[in-house]
Amino acid sequence: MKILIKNARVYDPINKINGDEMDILIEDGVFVDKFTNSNGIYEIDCKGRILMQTGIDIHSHIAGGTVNVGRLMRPEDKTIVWNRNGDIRSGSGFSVPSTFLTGYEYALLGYSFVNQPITPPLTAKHTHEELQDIPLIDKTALLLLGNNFNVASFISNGEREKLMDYVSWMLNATKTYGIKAVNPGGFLSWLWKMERISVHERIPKFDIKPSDIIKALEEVSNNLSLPHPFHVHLNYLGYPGNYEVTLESLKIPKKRMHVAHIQFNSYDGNDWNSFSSSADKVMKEINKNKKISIDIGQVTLDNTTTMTADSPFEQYLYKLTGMKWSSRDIELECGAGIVPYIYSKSRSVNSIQWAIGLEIALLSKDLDRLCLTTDHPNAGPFIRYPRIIAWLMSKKFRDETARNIKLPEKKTILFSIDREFSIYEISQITRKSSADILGLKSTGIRSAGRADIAKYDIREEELKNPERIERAFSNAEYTIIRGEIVVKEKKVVSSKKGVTFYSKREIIDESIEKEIETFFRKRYSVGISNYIVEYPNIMEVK
Amino acid sequence: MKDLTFKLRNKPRFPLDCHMIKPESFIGRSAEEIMDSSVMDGRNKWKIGDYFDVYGDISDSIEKIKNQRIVLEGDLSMMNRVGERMSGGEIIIKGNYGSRLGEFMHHGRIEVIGDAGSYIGTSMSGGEIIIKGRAGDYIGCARIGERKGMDKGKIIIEGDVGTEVGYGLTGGEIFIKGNVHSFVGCYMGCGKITLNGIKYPRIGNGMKGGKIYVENSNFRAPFNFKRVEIKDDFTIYVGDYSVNGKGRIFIMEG
Repeated sequence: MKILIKNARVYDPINKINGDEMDILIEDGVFVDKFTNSNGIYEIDCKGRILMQTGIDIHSHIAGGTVNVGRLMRPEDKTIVWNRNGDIRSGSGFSVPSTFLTGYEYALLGYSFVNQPITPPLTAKHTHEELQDIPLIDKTALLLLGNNFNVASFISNGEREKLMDYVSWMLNATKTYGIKAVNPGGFLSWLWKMERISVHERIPKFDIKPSDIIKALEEVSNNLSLPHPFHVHLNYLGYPGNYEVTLESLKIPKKRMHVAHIQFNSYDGNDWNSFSSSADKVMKEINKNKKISIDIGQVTLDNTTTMTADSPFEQYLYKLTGMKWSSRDIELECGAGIVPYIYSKSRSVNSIQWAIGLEIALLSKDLDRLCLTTDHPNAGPFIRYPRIIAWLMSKKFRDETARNIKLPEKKTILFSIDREFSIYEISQITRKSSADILGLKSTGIRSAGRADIAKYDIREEELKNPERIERAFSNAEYTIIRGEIVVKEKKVVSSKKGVTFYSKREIIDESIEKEIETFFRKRYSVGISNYIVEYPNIMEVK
Repeated sequence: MKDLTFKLRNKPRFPLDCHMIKPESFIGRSAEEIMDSSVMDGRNKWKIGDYFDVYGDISDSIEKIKNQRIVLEGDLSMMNRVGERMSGGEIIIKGNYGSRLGEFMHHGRIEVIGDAGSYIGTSMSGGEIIIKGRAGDYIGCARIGERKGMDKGKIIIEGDVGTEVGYGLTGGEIFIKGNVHSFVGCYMGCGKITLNGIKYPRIGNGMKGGKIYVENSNFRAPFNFKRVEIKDDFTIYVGDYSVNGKGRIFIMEG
């Protein structure tokens, strides 16, 4: 298909295009300089409206066991309902949308790639089945290893080569893209009744500390030269006064580490009454430390569902709120918990959490190491990204929201920050940084690059109006993925399947396979042949 | 003003989603326009005119809505969600009705001359629902998945009903004139339920507050309630003790 897009105002940080007016030509899924012939060209006249590359989400729980339990647990969440319309399938859900709706809503936001950050190895099959069901967007999944018994015993025995082979085997078996650790050592110690564990405390039954796990997995990730650096959800997440643990954890990595939803780790205070923001201290360290990249995890003040492999924290949250709670134990590998949570505008703790996320983004000095996320659905659903963009781009809108919620002035520094993001910077934190950190080697809007673009119904002079920003970015006028129109005149028109990518790694010492097989026979409830994922539509990343 | 009448012509095969049938959604439209608007039957889209003959007067402004009366006629046992979030006027259903009536309604009146199914007046916050026949389960309860039930308003049912009347009730009144099945007023916080006959002794589980009147001297209070006094022909019990509740059950003296 040939597409000609005229008079577009292009923002592309990858090629440093800042609002140039351009014509864009697409043929057979790539950008071209000239069409081969002039037959059957589909023409779009932008009339100076904004055009960007499609967005990339680095951390969003869109599939897997936890998401599915969330859907079962929350029938009251189905406030958004899509009816069937020709090829477009029906769907429902606000914070935990069904698979098809997830794909459609991402396409409407102008996104084309999502990284699903937790895949407990045992539920990898389920995760891939759900990922296959999500249309339009491309996906990757990260392998969860932070609380794995085998990993912990390899580290405590000092068997680094074995650990590397084990991780390679796991990546190949579960068809995952990178390594993730959630509250490293936290679940292992929770099993022995420790509610939480700091980075330099000892894990019971294993002679190691959480810092050893972070160090070892970061080293493995580097040695295997995985495209995405080691992705970590830090210890003490969500507890008041956790910023000291965060600062200590940030010093551990030797090369590169991605810290997820840093907002939840930037809390000051001794308890919930003295709870306050320490975003400035955390951001001071991150701005200095080039090894760390982060995503925000912005609270959007909605009624949402929290789901994480950090079961100890979910138990704490359940005790705090008294809402319904589900906790899962995934044999020898990790746990998971789900609790619905309402971020209330009339509660000062939630209001401060809202402010911390924005402070983190606004205090950042290197936007190439910062990504925009809501940790969907933990801090808010991903359909709120446009509102976050409006908050970041307009101080007026931030102050207006701050006045309407219960935000104590002394506990944050949000009011003293005047910075307003430009649209170029927004495209940096939603496109370029995520692509770089995920290792996608995106070439941006340049000849021969993959044609993924989104056109929004907003002109440059309208960027002063926050309501207009939110409306325009919630519904892209055109979204083109791999040179095919999937959103046309603000409506989804396609249900095409996306692709899941994974990283394949060679196993050096093949004796590990025999050892894993014995281990499976001894300890697991499933056979090894039922464990390995083999599905179509999963591609090895080169 | 004449009644706006929906007369059922064909009975649908699957449950018909009628959440648009309420007085305020038809303001300023003609009967032909209403017949031309869409309605979902299962997963298929149809027109209202495929199922109903519509005729009568339609109010032209929101101020006149309290005079608007909608009448539904025929065997309506496949219809659901009538009067959802209704904010005024009156709906009269002549015939048996399906499920989910007056969810989240906050004003107005609904009357069913016939039997009705489950989920009547869930999470409603005002208005009145009267059912002349029998009804199903979950009357005035919390909407599925939620914790707080009906908040304000009144539900009167003249026939027998099923289980879990007033689950999570936080206000309002429910009157049941027929027999009630099990689990009345579970997790109730406030409000009032009046019953005549009960088939099963478990009532008021996890009750924190509110009142349940039982106008039947044969009934014995559950063991997690404590008898406190006799007043105006009623024996009063307080509970549920297992959750330190302050709810009261009033049982008529024989």
